[in-house]
Amino acid sequence: MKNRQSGIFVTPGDKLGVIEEFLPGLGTYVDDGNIYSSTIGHLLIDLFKKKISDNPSTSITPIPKVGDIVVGQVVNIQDKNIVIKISQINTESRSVLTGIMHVSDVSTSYVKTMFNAFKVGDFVRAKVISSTNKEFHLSTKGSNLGVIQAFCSNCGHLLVFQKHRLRCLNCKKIERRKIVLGYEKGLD
Amino acid sequence: MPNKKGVEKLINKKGRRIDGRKFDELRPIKIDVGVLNKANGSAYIEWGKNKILVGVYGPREVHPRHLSKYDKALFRSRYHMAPFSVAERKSPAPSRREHELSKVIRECLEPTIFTELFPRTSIDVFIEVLQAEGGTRCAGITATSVALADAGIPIKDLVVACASGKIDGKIVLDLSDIEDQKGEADMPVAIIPRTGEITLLQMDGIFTQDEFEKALQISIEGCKKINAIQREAIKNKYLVEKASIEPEPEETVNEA
Repeated sequence: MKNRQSGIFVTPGDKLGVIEEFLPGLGTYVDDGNIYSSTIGHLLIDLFKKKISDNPSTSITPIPKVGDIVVGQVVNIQDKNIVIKISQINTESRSVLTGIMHVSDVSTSYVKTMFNAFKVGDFVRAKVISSTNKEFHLSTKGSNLGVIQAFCSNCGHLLVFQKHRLRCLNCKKIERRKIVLGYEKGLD
Repeated sequence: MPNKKGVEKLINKKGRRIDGRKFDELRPIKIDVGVLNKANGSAYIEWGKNKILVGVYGPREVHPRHLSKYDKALFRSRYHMAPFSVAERKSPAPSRREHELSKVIRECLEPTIFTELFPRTSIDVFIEVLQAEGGTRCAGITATSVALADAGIPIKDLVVACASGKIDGKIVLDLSDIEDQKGEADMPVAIIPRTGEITLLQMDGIFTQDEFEKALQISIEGCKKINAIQREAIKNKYLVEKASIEPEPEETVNEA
């Protein structure tokens, strides 16, 4: 490849180098000992780490992996299961996948029914614990996971954490959720 | 167009075709990248009088869920001709031909996509033919691979397709609609240009073995020319975008 240097524009299929000289990085693939670009982007050569990558000009919807922290909205509740629409994976937003959570994964303590822990419309921070059976299984076990923003089931106003309870300042209703530690600080 | 006698010469005495092209000349091709706002990737191609719009959606959640694959993305494609794309109104319902083209386009592009990077998701391609003038499947494949790259989906290479055929006993490149109908044979070919692998090879009509080899040869040469146009189109979109963004901060600094 002529004039190979960081910052040049590359398109899929362009030859970037050979595996003897560089490690293949992001946006590249190896075929028959050669490194090729797989996305539209700009070449990035790290001579210190001996790594060649293609810094993509395009962006792609991220897919959650086991262990990722996701943020989503509760869309459906049954007695022992809920469905969460995932809108953010780690810190990247722009995802449109759904995950499910079983009542046994809500908390380290016993939860009898999902209706005691979530309501439709709540924003939840959860962890992906498994991706078997074509589903993303989520968990809110742990103090940093759970509801990060809840809404009153009576009037729809934002619930506020005061005096160890979730309260609706509009209609004075008190509700139960599996909330995160630091709920009162709001969404960060 | 047919003359008064109804007998038509597809190649004149000077060796030119009806639209004035030489035997190995392509129709003019123009590709626009990223024309649809709501799609993850898109492309618009004008190939002679063909006008085709391609949208790529995904990787996204699969509906219906049971079709999803646990180890890779599901790649789906839909080739559709608009009712106004041909001289006589075409029923908008998918025809046998459209089902077939959806399938061959899907199978021709799938080997280049790294579907294993996106398990449990689907990548959906919609190819909408707005105006047809022969060679829509080749134009559709060419535009789809550009749209896939625009969507940011990792691909091995830009697949490119081009037809060749036989008219008046001569092997020619890139048949138009009338040449396809009046000619003796038509052969669309899609290749992965970097490796030269053939991912689509169809034929309608009769070639001798020598003719077939010559037709394949000029198709591959045509594909390589179109591949350069594809890369140029991508470059125009992405390098122009970068150039238009970069000067702005400098201006604000000067004003401050």
